[in-house]
Amino acid sequence: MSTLTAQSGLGWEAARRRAFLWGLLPSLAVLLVITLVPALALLVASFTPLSLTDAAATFHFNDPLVNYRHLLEDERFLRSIATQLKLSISSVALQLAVGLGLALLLNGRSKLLGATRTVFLIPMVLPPIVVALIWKIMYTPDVSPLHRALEAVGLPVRSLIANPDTALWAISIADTWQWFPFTMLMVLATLQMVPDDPLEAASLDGANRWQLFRYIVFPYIRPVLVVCGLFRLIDSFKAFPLIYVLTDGGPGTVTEVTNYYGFIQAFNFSYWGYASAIAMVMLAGVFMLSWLVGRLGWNDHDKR
Amino acid sequence: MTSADATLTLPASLTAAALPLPATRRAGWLRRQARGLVAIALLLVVMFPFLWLVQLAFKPGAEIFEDSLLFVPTLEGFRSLLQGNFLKSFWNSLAVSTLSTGLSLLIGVPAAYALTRWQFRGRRHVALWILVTRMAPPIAFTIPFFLAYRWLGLQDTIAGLAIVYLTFNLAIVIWLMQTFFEAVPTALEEAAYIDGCVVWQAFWRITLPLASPGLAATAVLCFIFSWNDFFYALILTRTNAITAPVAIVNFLQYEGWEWTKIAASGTLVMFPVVIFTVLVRTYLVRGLTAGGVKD
Amino acid sequence: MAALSLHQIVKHYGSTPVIHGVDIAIQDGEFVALVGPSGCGKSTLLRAIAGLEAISSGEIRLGGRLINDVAPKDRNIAMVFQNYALYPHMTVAQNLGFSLKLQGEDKASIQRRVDEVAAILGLEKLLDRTPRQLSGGQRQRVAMGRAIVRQPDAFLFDEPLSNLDAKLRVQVRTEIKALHQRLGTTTVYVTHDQVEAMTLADRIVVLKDGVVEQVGAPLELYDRPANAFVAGFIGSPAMNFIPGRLHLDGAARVVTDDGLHLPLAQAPQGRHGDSVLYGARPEHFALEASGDGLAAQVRAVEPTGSETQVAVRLEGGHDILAAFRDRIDVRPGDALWLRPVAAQAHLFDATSGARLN
Repeated sequence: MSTLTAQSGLGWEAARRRAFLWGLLPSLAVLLVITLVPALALLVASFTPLSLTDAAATFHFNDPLVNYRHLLEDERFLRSIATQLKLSISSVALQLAVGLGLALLLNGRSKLLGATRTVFLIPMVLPPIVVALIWKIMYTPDVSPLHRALEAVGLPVRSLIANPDTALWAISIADTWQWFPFTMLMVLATLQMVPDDPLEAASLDGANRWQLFRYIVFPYIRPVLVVCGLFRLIDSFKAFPLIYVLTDGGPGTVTEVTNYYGFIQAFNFSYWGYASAIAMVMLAGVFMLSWLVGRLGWNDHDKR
Repeated sequence: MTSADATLTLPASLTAAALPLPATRRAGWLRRQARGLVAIALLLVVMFPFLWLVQLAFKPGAEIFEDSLLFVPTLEGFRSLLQGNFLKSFWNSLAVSTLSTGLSLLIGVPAAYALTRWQFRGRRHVALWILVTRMAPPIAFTIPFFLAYRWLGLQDTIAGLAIVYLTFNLAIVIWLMQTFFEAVPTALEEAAYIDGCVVWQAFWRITLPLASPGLAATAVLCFIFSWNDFFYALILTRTNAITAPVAIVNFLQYEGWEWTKIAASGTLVMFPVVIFTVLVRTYLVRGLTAGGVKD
Repeated sequence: MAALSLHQIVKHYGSTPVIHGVDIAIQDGEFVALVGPSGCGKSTLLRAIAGLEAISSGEIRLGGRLINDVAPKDRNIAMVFQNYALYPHMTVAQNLGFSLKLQGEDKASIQRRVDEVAAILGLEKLLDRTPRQLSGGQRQRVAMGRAIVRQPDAFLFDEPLSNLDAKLRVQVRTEIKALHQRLGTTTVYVTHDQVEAMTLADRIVVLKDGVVEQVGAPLELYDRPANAFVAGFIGSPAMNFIPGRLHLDGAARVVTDDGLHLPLAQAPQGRHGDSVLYGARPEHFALEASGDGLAAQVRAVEPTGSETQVAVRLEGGHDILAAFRDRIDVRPGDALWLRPVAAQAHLFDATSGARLN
């Protein structure tokens, strides 16, 4: 394929270039309008104390950094970041572990294993609201089979989501249940690409299964695990339905993550300016992590 | 084939069926089956919460607080959904998802093709942009969209929601279709150019038909992502364009804790998605990692 | 049908020049082969003629009309690709009729034309099959059919036989030649196989590194190659080259550093003592009686049936391949005496490779 070194604006090459431009333009225009423009609007709003109570009057730039200063002092906000980190890290770690374990277990060619792999996908593709409902049922003692089973065995447990000490863990478990298939799929796909030769050679040399895993298989899948982890980390910032349905941020603000705090500020209190500032902070974090993901696991499109 | 190629055939007395399995081979068989058995056991354990929801949907209301798994299944829960807003929300979900998928494909497919065949500087930047739109927390977009829609009158409309969904669906389409278009050899398009096609004719008659399985899978993924959305729908709809996931939550808040209704509506809402997933499971990995991972 | 002319074609990829001012004039109805090693630019030139690649400067004219900026579809040329490039989702009939359909012809006339072409190529029974259901040779014929259907001014072939096995290759080659004799369309044929070029072409263009090394009829290139590269490229098995110095004192001859005397028929260009390459084709060696000519030791004997190829080593370590029509009874290790036929010897400058005789 020739590159774009052809000279004139006439000719086939130029016509082709124009055709491609026309194909690309609608998408660029739409993306511009629905992503860059809102992002800019968000940035602008974050510099104002905009709120519902008096939208016109509060839309001014007298003190652009007021929201950001407030963020630094806002204990609830800072706590939400801690909560977010706790939730994200615990959930992602569990997802990686469970996903990896299941991938290793199900890495085989039988039809049975193939079918189980498909069924294990379900938690990930369910509408998140349904996942939230499922776990709402699991965590409500009156209707939960788990609670009733424990009671029957003589170990009655109080509602996990009503208890400040366990609420976050309860959400973490539900989140892990929802997203472990992601890691499982990715690791499975990579496991299929591990070449047989080193495995056979090492096996003949006397390596046992653990050694095979640690020295041959694991180095192969470590990059995937890293990318998976980062990906899930970024996605975990979006966690909403689980918290909304299970705990509503509570008890108190124990399960209030940053995303949720922003939601409350924007749509409960209608402090749009302040909420915009919160959203900007999140956006910055996501941008940096995305850039990292892009660097690490870049798709080879532009290298071809 | 000559007789030299025929495999050696052992006399019947020496075949495996006739001999008893030596001890090591017996243990090996068990180990091999063990994997499958453990897999099924884990499957039941892990999928238990999901199965519990589904069976709850068919339980008669009176027996919810009972433990027994033996009950006469009833469609009472589903029938009760017919009254009220739920059916409408189901239609809304369908409308929004279809509209969003259609728009995303219409705008995104030509862009994906252009990006595949046109090498230009700045491709990387476009790629990063697309990745970020996919990754950004919805809250970052909902606030501006919420304020804009109030002003534009797109609040609580199906079109408004479909437009917002473009923020993630367009990225998915562009990313996925690129890989499918790359799989079509350029020689075919060149032959078409010589046969008499201009660029987009060759695309329409040659490239797109050959990429149609990928197109179908992408459409399904877009549909699933649109269908599953909760946050945007919660904020940007009220009563007119309310979608199914949001409608369910209403059962929780306003109509009390009617567990069968909740279970039934949950089962209905997840049903299309699960079916579609089974159909496109091979493309699921690509769709979910769009932009971030080496294919 | 039309004459094709390439005038001072230059092409750059980025800042790297790949074609350095190529001039080729092809007459109406002529079959011209572009040959050369990989990377010589032959495919690039072909694609430039087709309009699939742009050129940096120069003129391409078809039938006198300047087609530099004309879209491929408007150039009235047809191309046969190396990998056939048949449309997988269409039947053979649809593949053949595609270009006519794009031109807006009605179904009846498309069908008529497709049937005509199918008859020429023996594809009548395959019209409803898809490419996947065809063998390599059949696919190649459909690719040719697709080109014929358009009745273009010129055919372009891009290494069409390289994906076929040896026997099929010979068969399709003959079909291509028969087709050209029947239709008489101007044809440009790119290949790296000089045997194909020799058997098919009216004239051959030898390319190396984006430069035309020689243009001429096959036998012209064979008998009088313009430089060492062409001499070594054309002809199989390849010409033998022995380096030495030109001696003009007495009978013109080349003397190697080891003292071998290689005869020349007449005095060539050059001065006494010039560094030269002596070229002799395998079939231009005569067996001498013991003691005359060059002493050689047989290293391998390869009888091909029609001739016997003998790899020998001359004194001084020069490895030569000689080919004899008669059957000779020799074995590895035997001693032979050879004399290169002076009238058929070629002489090239050792540095520039240019022909000296």
